[in-house]
Amino acid sequence: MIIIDKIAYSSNLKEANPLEKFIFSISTLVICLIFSKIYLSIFVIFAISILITKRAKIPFKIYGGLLLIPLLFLFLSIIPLLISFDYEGALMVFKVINIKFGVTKYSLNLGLKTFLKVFSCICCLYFLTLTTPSTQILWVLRKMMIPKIFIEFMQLIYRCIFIVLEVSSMIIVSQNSRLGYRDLKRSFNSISKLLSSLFVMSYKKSEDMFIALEARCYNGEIKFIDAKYNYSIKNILFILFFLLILIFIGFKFK
Amino acid sequence: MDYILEVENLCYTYPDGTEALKDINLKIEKGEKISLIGLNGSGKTTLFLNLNGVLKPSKGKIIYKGKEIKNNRKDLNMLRKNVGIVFQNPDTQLFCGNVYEEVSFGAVNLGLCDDEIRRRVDRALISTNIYDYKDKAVHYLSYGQKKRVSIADILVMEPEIIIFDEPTSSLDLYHSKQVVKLFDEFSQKGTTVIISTHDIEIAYSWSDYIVVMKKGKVLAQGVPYDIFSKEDILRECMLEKPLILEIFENLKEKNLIKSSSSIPKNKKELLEILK
Repeated sequence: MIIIDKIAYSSNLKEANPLEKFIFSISTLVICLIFSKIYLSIFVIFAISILITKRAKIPFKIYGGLLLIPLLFLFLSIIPLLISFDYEGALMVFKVINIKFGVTKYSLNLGLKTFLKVFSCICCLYFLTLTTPSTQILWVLRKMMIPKIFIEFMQLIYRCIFIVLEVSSMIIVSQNSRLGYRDLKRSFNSISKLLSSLFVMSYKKSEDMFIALEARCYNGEIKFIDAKYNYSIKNILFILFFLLILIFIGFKFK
Repeated sequence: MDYILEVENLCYTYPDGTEALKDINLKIEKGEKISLIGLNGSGKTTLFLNLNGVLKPSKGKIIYKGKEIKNNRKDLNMLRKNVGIVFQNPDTQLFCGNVYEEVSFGAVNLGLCDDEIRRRVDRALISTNIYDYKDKAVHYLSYGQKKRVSIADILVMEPEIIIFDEPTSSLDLYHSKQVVKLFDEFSQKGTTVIISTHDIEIAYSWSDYIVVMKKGKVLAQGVPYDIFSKEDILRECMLEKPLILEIFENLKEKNLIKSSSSIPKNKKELLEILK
């Protein structure tokens, strides 16, 4: 998560208008889901990957590594789709104990289609997360009139995750430096202490934070002013053009 | 004499029964530079939170510009607006993901219009020298940068009094000097600056007025020379005499310099006398 957050802050598209990035990736995702066509999905996978690596300048090694994580789960969940009990006229039949399984043309097609569809959607979401820092995503959510309470929660959680991580890593270092993790028994002991002290510290920190908020005239609602982003005609035209191509491919090809 | 902030017989007891402040009396003039010194746990932070209206005094009163602060929303908000606190640890103060949003929080709470908020945020970011980081995430900044963001946080509200709770702790010498320079800039603009510090040299050379606290009480207050030249106060509060003053007094005792020369506040002034 932290890696993704860091990448988003260093991507070449971080200054682009978040709403443009959001609309681009989400509408591409929706088009992929609605049409559910093999060629369309393949086109989206390549196009988005090229945009991520060339336009946003995210090293292919990092992007590829991040893709591997969901792909592993995707492969595992595609297997049940490929196999069916209907082995008559199947392309491949295999027997486990006394039950026969088969891979039919239909199930193969379905599996491939689903695989590519999900893969293309993953690419779209990665485009959003790798080019848009979390604060910008919150900005988009505010623009979309999502209830304030959710956004305030997300925002405080986002900040507090980093505080908790920082505090926990400091405790771990201090435990380690006093041989807290030298064997299994000690490790369990140290982890339990770590968790309980993290809880207490989080409570204390939240109280301190509340005091600091109150000192700045906080009265129950977190309000602040958004950064301004400029719209880029070039980007909007590109998005429209790209979406039109997608719809064209969706109607024209299988 | 017109005082901007007065504290009369202020007592504060924490809900658990700890008496943190006992009968505090202070009178603060507009534009003054004040240092609060005292050992850890002597009640400096509690006093600050009382001055800002976050904690409500158990006894006694706080008077802002001749008007007593009552325990109601309007008065408290007025006090919080005009007395800003920069907390010791910036991590407890910063809660937004992004620097610009973080700094704008206080200004938005004041209910200003958008243009004015943006103008103030820009001004605060520029005067604390962090304008370049305005789109950065707060958690990727260094400690010194976070500190400056927390100062900009308060500056944006344009308070009459700014309180800094141990502003130079955990900062390196260079950044401490930068921060002290900022304080001077604020006070030149007419803002009253109150700091708490353990750094005797800064307290002696920077401030116009010094308040010494011990165990929740004000032990002594006065101009720096009066405080630091009294051996009994120094002994009782476990303070040391500032180096400049000690050298000056020694030189005077041995008749190496004229006894009529004015008391030096910093290294520059001491060297001037030695010329």
